[in-house]
Amino acid sequence: MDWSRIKTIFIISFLLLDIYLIFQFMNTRSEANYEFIEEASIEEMLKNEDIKYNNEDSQELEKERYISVKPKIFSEAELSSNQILKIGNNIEGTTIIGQLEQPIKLKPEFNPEELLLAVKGIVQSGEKYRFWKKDDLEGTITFYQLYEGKMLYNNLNGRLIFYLNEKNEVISYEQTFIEEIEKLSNEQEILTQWGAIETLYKKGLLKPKSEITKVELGYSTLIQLAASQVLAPTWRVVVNGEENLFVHAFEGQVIQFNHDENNITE
Amino acid sequence: MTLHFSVLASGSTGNAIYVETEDQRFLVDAGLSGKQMDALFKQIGRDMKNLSGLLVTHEHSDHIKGIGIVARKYKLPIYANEKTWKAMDGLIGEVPLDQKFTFDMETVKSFGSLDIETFGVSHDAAEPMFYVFHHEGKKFVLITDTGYVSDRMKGIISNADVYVFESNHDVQMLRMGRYPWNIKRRILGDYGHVSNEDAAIAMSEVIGDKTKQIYLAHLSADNNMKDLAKMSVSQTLEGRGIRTGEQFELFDTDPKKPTALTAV
Repeated sequence: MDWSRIKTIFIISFLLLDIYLIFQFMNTRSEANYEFIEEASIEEMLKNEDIKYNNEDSQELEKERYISVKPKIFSEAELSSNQILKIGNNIEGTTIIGQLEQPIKLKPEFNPEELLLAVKGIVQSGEKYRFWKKDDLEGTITFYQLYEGKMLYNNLNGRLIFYLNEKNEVISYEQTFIEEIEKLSNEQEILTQWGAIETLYKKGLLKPKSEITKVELGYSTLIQLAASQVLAPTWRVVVNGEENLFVHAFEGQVIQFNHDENNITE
Repeated sequence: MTLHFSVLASGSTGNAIYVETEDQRFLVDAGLSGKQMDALFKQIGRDMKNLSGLLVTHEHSDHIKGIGIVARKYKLPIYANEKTWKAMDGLIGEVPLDQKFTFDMETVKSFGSLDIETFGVSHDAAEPMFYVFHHEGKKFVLITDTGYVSDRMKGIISNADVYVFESNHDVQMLRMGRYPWNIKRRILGDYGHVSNEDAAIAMSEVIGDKTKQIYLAHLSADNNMKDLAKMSVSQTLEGRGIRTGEQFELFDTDPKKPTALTAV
């Protein structure tokens, strides 16, 4: 037997086998080398779902703080002959009910500014409220009070409601007014608009093919105490001009009001 | 000399309360480092070397972080109940046997002119307990780290001259906050911490004609605010017919700044 030839054949065979195995190993390794997939930005996520939002200027970090508010207690002395104080409230004297001497006829194209102008001198501090919604079924027009230009969403202590008759005329109103406002905490950075939108997107509250029509900052009631409230800065995100979504601007949590307040406003 | 005290630090970053009479000087908990404790003592013009002993409420780190260090450095006796001693094993370093003392729950020990009474609270520790100090007819109560205030506790702490009372969180802030749900559940539970409103309700049932000062303590940095705690407690008390500022004053406490040394 030629052991020398056999040895050579073995060496060559194993060498070829080794080359084959190395080739296989390198192939497997290069296939396993996948790219690190970065999480898409919120803009990209919205784009992928065909959710529209056209605001370029919203990444700036703002600072805000919690505020503490107390309702004004109206005295009989400051009421006119057409005004009375509503009874049965938690805190007596916080709600004025007023009747208009002359009903105000609304134009078919309702303009909230015109209504506020028409009741100037009748409703106290009317300019400190901003229009929220007109409810034709209920026959009401609701305004909420502003603080430093920001709306106090769904705040029963800072609300002006006008009541309509069947002829679409304003005949009476109910008013509460927040008088004492105190800054409660140090200023802290709030979520950006995009941060609020991302929260809503991740909670599945933004439907594909929808459009974010408005994003604004206001305040909502976080804590209701016996004689005062603590309000938290709150992002309001309007979807398709129909639905209001609210996000706590410090904590990034979705705020649920009652169903009506989450429906369309302006 | 009357009973004096200072809440040196209060909150989840560390707790320590100093109590003194003419012949006794105690520190209740030392939940901060030895260096921080030294600095706090300096701020109230006292020195830890003059302490008579250390009283432990429970074994959580925000109450015992500096206990071993302070005890060893100044050769001070430590008082805790048996279960707390066991739970502290390995957490506070070596303490010589002659510095270890047992102070059982619901007992009274006398140290010169000062009587110290212990009572159990409801917290997720081995056997958590707090202290009532009696001196020359005055009563000073410490109660924090409890999920609720039971009728039994109320009986023991009623009509004190001064309270250091837990007012840990606002429930709504906690619910809205970023803590994981299991932590929120723990804080809100019977073995967690007392909220502003629950604290006020309990206070309304223990405040008596002797009560002159209430210090709101163990305020959560994330789920409470000093002004909110005071507002919430005072409005709840007012709703129950008790007006703050008339019979007694309400104060807050701080995690880093001691309250002034005050007479009970």
